[in-house]
Amino acid sequence: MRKDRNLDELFRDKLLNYEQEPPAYLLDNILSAVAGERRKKKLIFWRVAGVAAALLIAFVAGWQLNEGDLPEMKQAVLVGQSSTPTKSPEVQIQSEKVMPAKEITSATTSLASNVVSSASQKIQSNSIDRNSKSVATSFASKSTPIASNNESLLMKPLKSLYRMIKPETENSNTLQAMKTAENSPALIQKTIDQQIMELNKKILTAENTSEEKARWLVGAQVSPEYNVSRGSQSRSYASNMLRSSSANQVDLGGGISVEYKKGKRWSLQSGVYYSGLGQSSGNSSGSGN
Amino acid sequence: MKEFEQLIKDCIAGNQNALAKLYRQFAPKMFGVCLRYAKDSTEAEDNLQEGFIKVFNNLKSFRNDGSLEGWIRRIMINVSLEKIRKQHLMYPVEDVAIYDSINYSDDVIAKISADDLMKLIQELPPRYQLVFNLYVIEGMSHQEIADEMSITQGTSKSNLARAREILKKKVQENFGEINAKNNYTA
Repeated sequence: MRKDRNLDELFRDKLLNYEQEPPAYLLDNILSAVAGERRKKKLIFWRVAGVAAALLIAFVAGWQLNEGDLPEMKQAVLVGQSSTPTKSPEVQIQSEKVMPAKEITSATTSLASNVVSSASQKIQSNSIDRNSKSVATSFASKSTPIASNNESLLMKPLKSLYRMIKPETENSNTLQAMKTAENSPALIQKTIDQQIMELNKKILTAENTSEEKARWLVGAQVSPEYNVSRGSQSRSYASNMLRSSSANQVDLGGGISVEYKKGKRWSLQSGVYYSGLGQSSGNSSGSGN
Repeated sequence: MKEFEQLIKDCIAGNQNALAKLYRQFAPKMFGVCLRYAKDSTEAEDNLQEGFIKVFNNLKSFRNDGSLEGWIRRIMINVSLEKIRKQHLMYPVEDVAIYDSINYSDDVIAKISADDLMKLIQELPPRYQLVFNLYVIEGMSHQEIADEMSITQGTSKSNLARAREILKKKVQENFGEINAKNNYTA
């Protein structure tokens, strides 16, 4: 029996399920290629993750740095004027609180008394009237080597200076107060912040109730300076307008002031204050005013 | 289909043994597919390798409701088509859609092996080989081939007719007698 078939059927029947064993090395090639692809994907993933982590760290670090530096910068940038000299916050607070501090000590709690008494001790030791050593002198003597540091270490001296201005005794007193607070059952629930707020409130009340006596105060001030060149001109132009020795450099200013306090609101203050700010221009061909 | 579910999961997890097992399961059949679309075994090996790499990298996209073999076969065909597309232009050849059919007796067919036919197909020009494979072996219509290869249906029909003509001659030369003649169109 002869059965005729056309060309299409012939090829379809013979080749549709045609099988042939491929060379053995192909499997190795395929497996290694697949493993390579997976490694590549993992590598890409880790690279992306690494870049994202680095960006995150950089962002957080930058943010923290800005947050940490801004208050110091604000305190450090001082503009010296002899008529209204700017006092460093610590000295100013001390000079204003000389009298009420004694009154407060008796009125506050044990914690408050610790803090205030230590503050008054500090004031007494720092006061020019009672002690020969002034805060200004000690600050100035400690700050001199810092001020002469390299310009590239711009923020470092500022930070260290700020730490020196902020007395360490305050920290130790706070710790002592915390220890006292731990022993006192009434204050055990209060946080340090609450206690300080309470103390400030009492100081204010004491100030209001105290007799307003006219008194003389003599003060000395030392303050760090940081020249920041700002203007509508370019940064380099504004920077050139400062003396090369003072541009972008930490410097110190200082002076002595005398204050006559008439009452709570009125006081007359005068003094001499030195500031290292300067200006120069080397471009004489420009249209300067 | 259930038999492959665990194997596919293992392959997706990157298990080398599972990958090798899946390969050994389908490689011979897929190598046959690649051989039909290639000009020689070297090109077929390249296509098989590239195809299986795609299969293993895209196993996640395979839905278990279909045939795994059909899915892999489709990938192999696509890889082969892509290579032909890159290497060769699909020249339009019109007005050769009429083909003189021939019938072969069982005696003749018995003499022709699959390897012989495979060799004949591989000797075809790529565009004829492609259309012949898609139309005759895979069972695609001219419209589907035209869409797949971005050619007209007329070009597909012409290429098929040319392929048949060449194959007919070669079979006659190599294997002797031709039994009957019928005219029909592609």
